[in-house]
Amino acid sequence: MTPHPDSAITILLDSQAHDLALKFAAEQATPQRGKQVYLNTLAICAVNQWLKLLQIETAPMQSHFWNAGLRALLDIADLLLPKLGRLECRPIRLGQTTFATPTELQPDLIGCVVVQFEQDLSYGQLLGFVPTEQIGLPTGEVLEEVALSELQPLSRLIARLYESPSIAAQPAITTSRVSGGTNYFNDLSSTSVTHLSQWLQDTFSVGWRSLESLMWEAELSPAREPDKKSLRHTEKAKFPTEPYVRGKRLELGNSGETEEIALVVNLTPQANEENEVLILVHPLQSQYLPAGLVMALLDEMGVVIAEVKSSVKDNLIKRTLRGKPGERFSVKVTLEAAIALEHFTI
Amino acid sequence: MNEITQPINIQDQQQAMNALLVELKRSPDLLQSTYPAYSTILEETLEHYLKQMTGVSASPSMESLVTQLNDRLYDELFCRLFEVLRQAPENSLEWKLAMHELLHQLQPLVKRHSHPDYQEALHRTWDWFISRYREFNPCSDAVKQSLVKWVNGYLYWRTRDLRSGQTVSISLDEPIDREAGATRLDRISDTAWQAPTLDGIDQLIAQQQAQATKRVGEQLAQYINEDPTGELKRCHPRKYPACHAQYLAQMRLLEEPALKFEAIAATLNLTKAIVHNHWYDRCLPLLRKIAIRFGYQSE
Repeated sequence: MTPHPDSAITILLDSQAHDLALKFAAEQATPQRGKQVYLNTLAICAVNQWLKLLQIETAPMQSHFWNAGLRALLDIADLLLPKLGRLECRPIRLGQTTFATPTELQPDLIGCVVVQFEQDLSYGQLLGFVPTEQIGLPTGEVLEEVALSELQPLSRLIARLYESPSIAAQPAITTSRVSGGTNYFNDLSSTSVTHLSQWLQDTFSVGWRSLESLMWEAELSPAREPDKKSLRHTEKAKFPTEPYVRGKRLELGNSGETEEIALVVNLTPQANEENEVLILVHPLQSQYLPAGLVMALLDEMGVVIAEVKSSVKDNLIKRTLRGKPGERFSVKVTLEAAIALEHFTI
Repeated sequence: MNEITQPINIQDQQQAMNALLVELKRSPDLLQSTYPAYSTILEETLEHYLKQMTGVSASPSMESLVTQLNDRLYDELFCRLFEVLRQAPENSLEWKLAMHELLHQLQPLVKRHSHPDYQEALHRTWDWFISRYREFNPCSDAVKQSLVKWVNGYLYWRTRDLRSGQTVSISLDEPIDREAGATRLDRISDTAWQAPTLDGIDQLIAQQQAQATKRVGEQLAQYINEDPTGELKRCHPRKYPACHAQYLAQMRLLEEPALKFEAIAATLNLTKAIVHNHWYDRCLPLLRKIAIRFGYQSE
């Protein structure tokens, strides 16, 4: 079955792609896992080749898959598109009617491109794509597999790349995590827009989690200073307790050090159809925010409408705005050269 | 008398044409495309073609009608695509949609060879096409035919070059992949290479794995199974200590095939939601950190 014959494209895979696939497969614990990594590598090469033909910039070596540990442990095959987000390249064999979703859905994931392989591995066929919101449901559930009948044409994916606000002359998001001398990935370039009005129906998009679960994770972090007072004990006093509050973990990397912070958003409906939105930034690894961290609120044109900077021993910084449903804004968090950008619609 | 019979004939003919139009649009053999402008091209071409047919007594079979129409549709579509590719900037959405559509439609029309160097020649042909498409002149009566001839011509000569070991008008040192630093020379030395098959890679992988002394996959599996610091076993929902990260990682990442959340939940006598949420909220971030650590160590 070819779900989108009117969109599919065949990509030739040369010896370089196969050499890389074999190299990565050889690192795996079992032959089955090796084969999965082999096909994941070919799928990435095929999608990368297609994007190159269309002159869309890619950065495969800055993708999560490029880390030997992540590609060994998780079933992932991501390809980073600088300033746009990330694509998951999912391999399937001829005859499959569903595809397995990746082990994890990154916040900047645009969607999954399905690549079909036959016996002859000299080529792969790009069948179509499924956007992230069809995999990570608003209820928080992540589907383990998706039917090929759900695939959308590749042309729709191209159009979607241009819908991203970050393609329209946003400043370059150059945050990279450097560790052990290896230039590592950029997982802060979020391209999806968070629709706050959906929170009123108790539907939250992937990445936006209850404060409780964020704090749990922070406590597990080996980087967290053990002598600090538990965040869980202080959270209630500092954070809003209204029902429409959610947090997202962001990482800001500079010169080998990574600062983990929580971006917390609280939505409060007002009587006059307006909503009040409280936005605050809180540390996850330590008691205080690093001094000099800047949170800026931008309007839909990218113009700064408010800005706040952390001082020494600030444990949170916050700003509030009001807006009508449908209005758009962005939050930019900056620490030295590292930038995290989140887009919202009220 | 004429005044009465003529309108009836036109009406009949109109009805017959409308029926034919519906039948044509339903034909699975008619050229399909998701390109935004294609629906307009289809409507206009069909209308134009059927107008021409009005008054023609001998009606062609549906099969030959679709073949003739497809030739026109290809011509119209390719003309439109080249128009966009010439006028729109290369970083625009219009250009990228047009190039994707052109590659998609052109691929099946390009000649296939069983020649061992065919793949390499085809690679070069697409590289060349992307850089030289502006040189193609679509202003002819048979755009599809002349475009396919143009591309097949280049493909034929590249196959000949590779067969004879010659290269014409291409520098061997010219980089084909700047990131990897590969040159055309690398590829030419590779022409005897044949891609492995889906079943054939099993043996290749087993051989390579046997030769590898330090496999990050094995080290990670060992770490998860041993949990030397106890961090995985400690990571569980407060009320459900058996639902810990080590067990879930074993079931989700080490077991082959991986167990689904429903099956894991059944073994723990818990709901799927408890296992699912714990996995995504706490286990994955923890496992991710461990994996990254091992990844750096292996580099």
